Amino acid sequence: MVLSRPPKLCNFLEWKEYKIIFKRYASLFFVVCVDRSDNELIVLEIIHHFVEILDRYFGNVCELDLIFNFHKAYYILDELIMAGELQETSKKTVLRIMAQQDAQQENPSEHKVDL
Amino acid sequence: MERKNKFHVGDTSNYMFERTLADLVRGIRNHKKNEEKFINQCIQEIKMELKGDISKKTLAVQKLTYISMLGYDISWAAFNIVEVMSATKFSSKRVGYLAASQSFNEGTEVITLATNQIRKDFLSNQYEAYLALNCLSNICTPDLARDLANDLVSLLSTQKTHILKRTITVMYKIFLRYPDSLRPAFPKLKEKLEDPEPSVVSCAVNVICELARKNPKNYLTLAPVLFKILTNSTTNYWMFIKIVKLFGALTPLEPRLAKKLVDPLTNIINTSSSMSLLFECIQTCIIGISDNIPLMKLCISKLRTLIEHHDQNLKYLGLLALSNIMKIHPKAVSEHRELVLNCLDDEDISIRTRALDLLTGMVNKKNIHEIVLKLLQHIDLAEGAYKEKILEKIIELCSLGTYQYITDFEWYINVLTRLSEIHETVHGKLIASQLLDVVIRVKVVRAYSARAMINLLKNPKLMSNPKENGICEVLYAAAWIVGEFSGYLNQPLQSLEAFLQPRVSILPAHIQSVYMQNILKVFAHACASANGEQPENLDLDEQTSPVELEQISTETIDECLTVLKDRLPLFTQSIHIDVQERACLVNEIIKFYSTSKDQGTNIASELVGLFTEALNPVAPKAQKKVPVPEGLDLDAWINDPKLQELEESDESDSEIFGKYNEESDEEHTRQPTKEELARQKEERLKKQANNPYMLGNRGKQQQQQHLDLGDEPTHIPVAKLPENMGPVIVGGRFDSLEKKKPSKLKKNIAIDTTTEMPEGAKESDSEDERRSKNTKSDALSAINLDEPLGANEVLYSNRHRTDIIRDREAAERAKAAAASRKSSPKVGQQSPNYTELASPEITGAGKTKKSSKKGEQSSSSKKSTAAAPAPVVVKKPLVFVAVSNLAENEFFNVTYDLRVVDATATPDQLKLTMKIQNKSDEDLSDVKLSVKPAENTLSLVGGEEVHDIGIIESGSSTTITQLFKSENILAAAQNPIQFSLSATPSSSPDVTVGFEVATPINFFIVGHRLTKDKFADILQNSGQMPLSSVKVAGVTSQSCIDGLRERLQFEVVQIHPSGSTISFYAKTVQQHHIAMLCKDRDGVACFDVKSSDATLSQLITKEIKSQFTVSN
Repeated sequence: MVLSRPPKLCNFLEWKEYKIIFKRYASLFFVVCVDRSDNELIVLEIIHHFVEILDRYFGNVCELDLIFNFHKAYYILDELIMAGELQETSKKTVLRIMAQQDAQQENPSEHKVDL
Repeated sequence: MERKNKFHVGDTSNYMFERTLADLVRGIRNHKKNEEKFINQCIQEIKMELKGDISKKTLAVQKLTYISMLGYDISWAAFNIVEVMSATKFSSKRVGYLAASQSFNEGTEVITLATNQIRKDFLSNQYEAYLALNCLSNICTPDLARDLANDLVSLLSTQKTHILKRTITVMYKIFLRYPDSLRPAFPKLKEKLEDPEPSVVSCAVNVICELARKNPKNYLTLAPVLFKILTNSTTNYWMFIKIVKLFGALTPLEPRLAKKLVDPLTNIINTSSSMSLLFECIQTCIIGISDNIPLMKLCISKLRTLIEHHDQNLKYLGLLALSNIMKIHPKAVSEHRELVLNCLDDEDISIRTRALDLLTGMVNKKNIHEIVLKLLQHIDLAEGAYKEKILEKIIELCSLGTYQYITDFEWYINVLTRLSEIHETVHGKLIASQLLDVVIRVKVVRAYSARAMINLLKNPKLMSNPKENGICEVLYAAAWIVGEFSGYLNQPLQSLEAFLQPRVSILPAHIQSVYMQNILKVFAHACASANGEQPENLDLDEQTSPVELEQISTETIDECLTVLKDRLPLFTQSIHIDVQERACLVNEIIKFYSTSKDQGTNIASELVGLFTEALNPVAPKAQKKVPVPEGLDLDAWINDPKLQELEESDESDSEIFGKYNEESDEEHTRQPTKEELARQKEERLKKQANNPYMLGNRGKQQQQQHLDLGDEPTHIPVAKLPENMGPVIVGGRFDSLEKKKPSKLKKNIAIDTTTEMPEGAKESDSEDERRSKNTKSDALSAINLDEPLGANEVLYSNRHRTDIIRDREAAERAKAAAASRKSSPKVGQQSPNYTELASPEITGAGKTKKSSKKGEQSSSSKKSTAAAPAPVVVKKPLVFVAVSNLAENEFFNVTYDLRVVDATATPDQLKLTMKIQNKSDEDLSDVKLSVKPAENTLSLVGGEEVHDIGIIESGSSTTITQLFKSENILAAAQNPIQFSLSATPSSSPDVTVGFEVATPINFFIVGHRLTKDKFADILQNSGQMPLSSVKVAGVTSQSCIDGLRERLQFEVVQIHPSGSTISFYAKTVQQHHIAMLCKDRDGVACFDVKSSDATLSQLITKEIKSQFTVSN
């Protein structure tokens, strides 16, 4: 439904009792499904926010980054949104926490290599 | 990436046969054609790996997560995922939690195994806590929610901002899954609104905003805090939007809030650079502040700029919001007609659809032609669903208010004809019903439409590819119109030829049937006309020109007969049974006609006589609204089902084997005489009595009744329906309607907008009301946060077994103690903490009725404005008990005991125990006690208004208990509950006693301990509070504190150092605030009572006065 829409149309669709809001960045589509009563524009802004963070984290994000590091993308999303609500609005904080967690993950594995 | 690969290289050197995640992804991308096979192969490998050590498992689970993302089922690995979640290493744990978030759902059974792990991780280092909280927000089940709610609430006190934020957000999920947790957890959540850290406030606002959508009423009290956030903070506009949205949910409930919001919202709308915030503000204005005209004008002008914006998204939203405004102010939108019409040309279908929706509010008599013309142009270009939508819209616009905007109905018939040229539509039926409706309602257009319809009938396009519900449905209407109004048409030959085209036989059966039926109509009219008769239902004095209605020559009739005879046989052999039947009927009538004509008799007038009944529109609800005739009980059995059963069993018992063979048929059919019936009945009843399988044996009395009624159901009340229920001719209405039409019109058009209703039909649309009541509500929205917490409302927590046992023992002990206490107070003798009510109210209650009404009004308007109540400590309140002698005469002695049921859980419930003693020498039978609280004061909880006590023997007594729930406490405090006791003594005439029980205001007051700041806050925020004062002599400050606390539940807020001035606070069970200042001036205490209601203040001063004067 989203893919078949020609560009230059508006980014909202009504689907069952929800709304689908999507945005396209190059070849990547970001699709969000929200309640009817939610604000469409804010969702678009959240998508943009997410993309910006991805971009900073991966350094000019592309499709392959997300495919091979799908778990990272999920981690970032979890940092950003919890229980359907925007939880952390600061890009810097998200990136900092991600870096810290990655460091945590690294340490044990380095130990393992040493052993 | 590089780093990652190195890591995996190291891995693969150890385990030669494993794929890394990158390998897997690459492999899947390389096997595009047989992806499924490849993945199945991988899954087999993964199953092997899952048996390995934890690092192997971690990798396997990570790969599974990827596979599940592609839509494959990995629920079989749930247990392994839990294992990885419980790993000690952070890297494994992280993978495990992600896998759980992605694949666990309500049906995952092993989820309970994770409960403890999650709980442990909450308190572990912050990174693990993040993981656990994030994951919980994704996988929360009702069980998890119940088990973890307590841990999360304690986590709300954490100092770590990031954990706190996540906890707040995850609480929303907990509330959703386990609504019982909302009430106990809410106070803590509320505190977070005033957290110094803005991002924490933001999270709390998010959660409350979501909650408020379910039941906004609960969150009205938060309005002042939220308002402060809205006006003070400027930084975080993500949160701004949520708050504005939240206000959108609250304002419909509190008009005063709307007034307060006007300024800040106007400000934001004017200044904000953020479109999303602007849009949210406009939405909120539409929902809550739609009666503020300047603000609405501002909104509309802002929306106009949105719609004119080149960004399609803004355009779409602008139209959406505009259509919301249209629902409230239809007129306000119409001036932007041009703008909206332009949007119809937009290339984006969603935008066009929105613009289409808006048209409803913009049509009027002048522009309907223009708009419909435009739509007709669009419909040719449009495709698919959008095309259907335009079609629907055209018909909706034209039929608005029963065609109120249409001045030229010939034009409308043309439009409908145009629409029926659209082939792919599914709205054939809609067009057909419009055609029928217009033609029936608008008499002047009948001749025109009959002519138009005959062209439709001839149009071969309509018949190509006929489908059920397709455009061919239009033919159904067309055929009917041509047939019914063939008198206007006078082209019988043409019509009949159209009806009998061979391709008609491929149409759906129901359409063919109509064709057949109307053949006869056309023919009948033709014959009548040939005979020189005027059809009766034609209004010839109207527009139809006399030229058209020339007599039909007999030759034409003959030609018609030939056509009929030639072509009807095709239909008499139709495979559709209905069509065949009607075709045969027509065929026979025609044959009959021609033979009788040959014999010299003309039956034309008889033929026409078949079709002269006038037609009128009938309301869709007419059938339902036929009043039930008096004396007809639709629920009553026509035949007593039990009786029938008996008869059946009877037959099988005796008649089949015995009588039937012996008796002749003749004998069997004769009517049995009355005596015989009675005898049979008696026999049957005897049999029944002995039959152990008979259930209906309820004693002789009932049997006797059956006997009296006899076997035949002659006694059933059958009401006669009123005879004048037939069609009501509404033609008489036209004169008045025509006068109202503007003189500009060339033609006077009468639209028959009336619909027939049976006489005596009820006016109300009760069925609609009933439907609206059935709206579903879920558990979360049913929760009321305004009620104070009950003692039993605690979060579920895991405790050691011995603790629980200890608690249970304690509870049992307490219960036993309470029971013994309960039994001890004997009526008449009072233990010291019972208060006797020397109640002036009992006698003077009737006088105060007027003032109570005033009290109601003002209290309802004040109630919700109260400031946010601070976290209150509900002090263990005293149980109010009133034991008193009520009524006494020679037969009765009535005493009662009134108390608050449970001051913590249900402070608004009162329990009345009444003891009625028979002190006379006679036994009393048929004792009845009726309980009547004054209207709108208290309501009965359980039990009925009349307690049927039965017999009280001489000297004995009986006890009645009744629960009451307070509706309006102010009225209740002034109007006592009325009782009436009646009985029949064994040897004296009946006695009736009436008496009253007062429910003074102190029953409805709940103690609340407040800090002095909150107290000041309440005084300040509640505006002008009515004041009432009273002076009592000889009261010391200590006795004052004790007395007020004991009797009225007032709690001390502050004592002036000198001890001469004390402030008190309490509130009622209905949340009125009561503030009091007590000043001691030389032994005379002056009490100033301020409350949110004048009546309440007076009641309290009165109460104080009586309390202290009695005690002194």
